[in-house]
Amino acid sequence: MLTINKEIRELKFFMEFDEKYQHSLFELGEIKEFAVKEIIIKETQELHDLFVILEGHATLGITVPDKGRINVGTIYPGQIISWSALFKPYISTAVVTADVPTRAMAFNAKKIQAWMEREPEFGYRLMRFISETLSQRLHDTRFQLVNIVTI
Amino acid sequence: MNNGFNPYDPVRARLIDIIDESPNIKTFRLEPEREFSFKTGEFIQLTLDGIGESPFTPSSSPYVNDRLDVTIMKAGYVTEKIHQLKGGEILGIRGPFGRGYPVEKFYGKEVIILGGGCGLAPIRSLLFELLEQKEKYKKVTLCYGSKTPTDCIYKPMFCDLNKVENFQCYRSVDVADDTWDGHVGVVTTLLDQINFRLENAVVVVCGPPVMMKFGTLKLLQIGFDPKDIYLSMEKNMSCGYGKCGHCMLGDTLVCKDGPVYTYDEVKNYDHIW
Repeated sequence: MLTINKEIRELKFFMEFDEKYQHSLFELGEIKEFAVKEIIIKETQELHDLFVILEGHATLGITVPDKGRINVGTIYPGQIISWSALFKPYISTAVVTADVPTRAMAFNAKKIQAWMEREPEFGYRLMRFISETLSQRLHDTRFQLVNIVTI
Repeated sequence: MNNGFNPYDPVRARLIDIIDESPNIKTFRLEPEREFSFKTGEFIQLTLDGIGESPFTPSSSPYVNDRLDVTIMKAGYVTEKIHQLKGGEILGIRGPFGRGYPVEKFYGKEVIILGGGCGLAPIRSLLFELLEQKEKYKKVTLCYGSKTPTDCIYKPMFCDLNKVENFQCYRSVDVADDTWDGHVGVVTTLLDQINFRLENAVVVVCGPPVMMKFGTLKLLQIGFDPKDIYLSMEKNMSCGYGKCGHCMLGDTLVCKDGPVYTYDEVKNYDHIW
């Protein structure tokens, strides 16, 4: 069992769940540490885990033909990466690199999916969090898109 | 208003310094031939003889009235000509016009400022105002975004402000380069990183129209009351007195009733962005 301090419990992701689910999440989660510039997720790789950033921050980038990597966002504690691990075709849509020494909690996607099927209340809370995250990222992407087309 | 003076007669001002802020933004420091005062958020019309005039909100402190900074992005005929100035030229200033930031309403509150690109110019003036009476505000947080690190203006100001008690600055860039190891993303993503008490916070938004729109939508999503969102609107201001009608916004005139509005005041008008 991991040592879970108050700071982690109060991260936005975990605040979504009541104590019972928090406890189970901490049991299921596995802490992973990443050094500066270490790749957390490669673009187009098959995904097996959903990550929640606990400490540090990471940059999300996309590789563009003839241009190389273009960074499009920064992910902070309490935010998720590799949500695609829960949805077909389970392939990552971006490359994620640690900007500073970064700790994340990894959740096995298959176990999470089975848990959501088993307990719809947990599933609803997790899907609500993911939907809000995706809604915000869609909002940011539209903002960026409009920025580009209006130059 | 400059009492006793013809509002259509510009005050002559000498261009005493030009500061390069970014590849297409410069700050022009003017020395008016007589005292010139304004309230933060009010705007002026800057005249270049034989060329034309354009509206700008001063970027200098409203507490300084013997010089005036105007930060200008090269974006059209008049601004292109102003950017070609070398210093020493005489320009004209009309104004100040309009309704600036109602800072008295910010007393005791957390003030969050969301700025983008050249929109930091009016905000710089507002920051001078807030700094002058910093004990009156609970906390001031500036979130500023530029397209790239090179496009960021007033770079030294960010270090200085972070040293002031209860002032915090956050920066983001839309696209990073090798010089940048900070936050990447549109400016609204900075709002996810800051802590504030929604019920005791006001937000000031100033930047390009696209940023104003998406910034406001994000603030509404967070739960801000439209009455607590202050927008600095730009709408083709010309006469400055509500006579010509060029800057109509709903049933208001931006040059007279604005340029600062709450979102609540304009939300039902068409084409506000």
